[in-house]
Amino acid sequence: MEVNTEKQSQQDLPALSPLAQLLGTDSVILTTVEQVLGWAQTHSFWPLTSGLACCALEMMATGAGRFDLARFGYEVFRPSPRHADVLIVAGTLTWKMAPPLVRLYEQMPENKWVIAMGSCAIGGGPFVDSYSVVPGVDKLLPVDVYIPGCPPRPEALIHGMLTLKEKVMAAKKRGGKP
Amino acid sequence: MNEERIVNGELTSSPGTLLQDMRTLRDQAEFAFNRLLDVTAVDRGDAFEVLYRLNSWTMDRDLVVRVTLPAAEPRLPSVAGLWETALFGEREVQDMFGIEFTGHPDPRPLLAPEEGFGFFPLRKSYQLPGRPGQSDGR
Ligand code: SF4
Repeated sequence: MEVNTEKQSQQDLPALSPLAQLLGTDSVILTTVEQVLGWAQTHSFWPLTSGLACCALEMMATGAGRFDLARFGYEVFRPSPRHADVLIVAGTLTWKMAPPLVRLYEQMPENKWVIAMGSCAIGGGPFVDSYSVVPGVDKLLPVDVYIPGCPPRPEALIHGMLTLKEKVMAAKKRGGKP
Repeated sequence: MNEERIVNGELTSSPGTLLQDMRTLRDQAEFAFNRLLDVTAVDRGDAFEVLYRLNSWTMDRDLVVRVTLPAAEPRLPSVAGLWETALFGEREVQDMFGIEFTGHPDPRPLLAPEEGFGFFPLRKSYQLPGRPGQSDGR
């Protein structure tokens, strides 16, 4: 009987939007535009296709079927920096390659984030005393997440991406810059 | 240029005669070294040796041409006009040993960054900076 009454009263209301139908009539979400945008952004990072050395193979494996980065919405590797918002530095950065990589980063639109994947990107890795290798990409780029390993496993990269998501969302909640 | 100058598959040339010797080795029918496989160098302290590895398809034969040049004046004529493979090989030697190849059409650094390393890594005088935290600095 009660159920019937409720149905009756709902039918009297004007047509509901699909979202309201999904949430129910008396559900209310309080949020900010920043948080909604952050939610969208952090569930669909578009990484730049930018492998530099052996770590890049793990990055490719992460994107492929077995580990399937697509489960988290991060599989859209972009061949152009204009489309990308995450730079995964996967591999050894040499001084020769440094200017092009910095340029790629600068060509990415805001907001953008950098992940240093593997010990080479973090601090030069096994080549730290070499004349040709940058001892850590944070000498040149603002790194958000460091993923240790030589190479890190695909799970570690996924964890790094999720850590980046948490970091960005936390900043959005604080209202600060991501 | 004749066969007697080749000892153990090696021919010794000099900076002054290099281009002439190389042209003969490439064009003379009995040698016909139509390919330059590699250009590399050795630091002997007071001198550099530049080595060219030649190969002949038709004669099925290899040859090393060795040129010694004083460390004080590391300069050689480029052979890029004879074999295009020298374009990269000579740039590499230039980056690593600081040997200048005069007449090279495009002498930008190949492996070193645009502005150069500021030193020449494969010279004996170059020391690696050492790893952080290692007491002997190596
Ligand atoms: S950290 Fe290890 S696996 Fe990754 S690029 Fe460097 S050497 Fe290769």
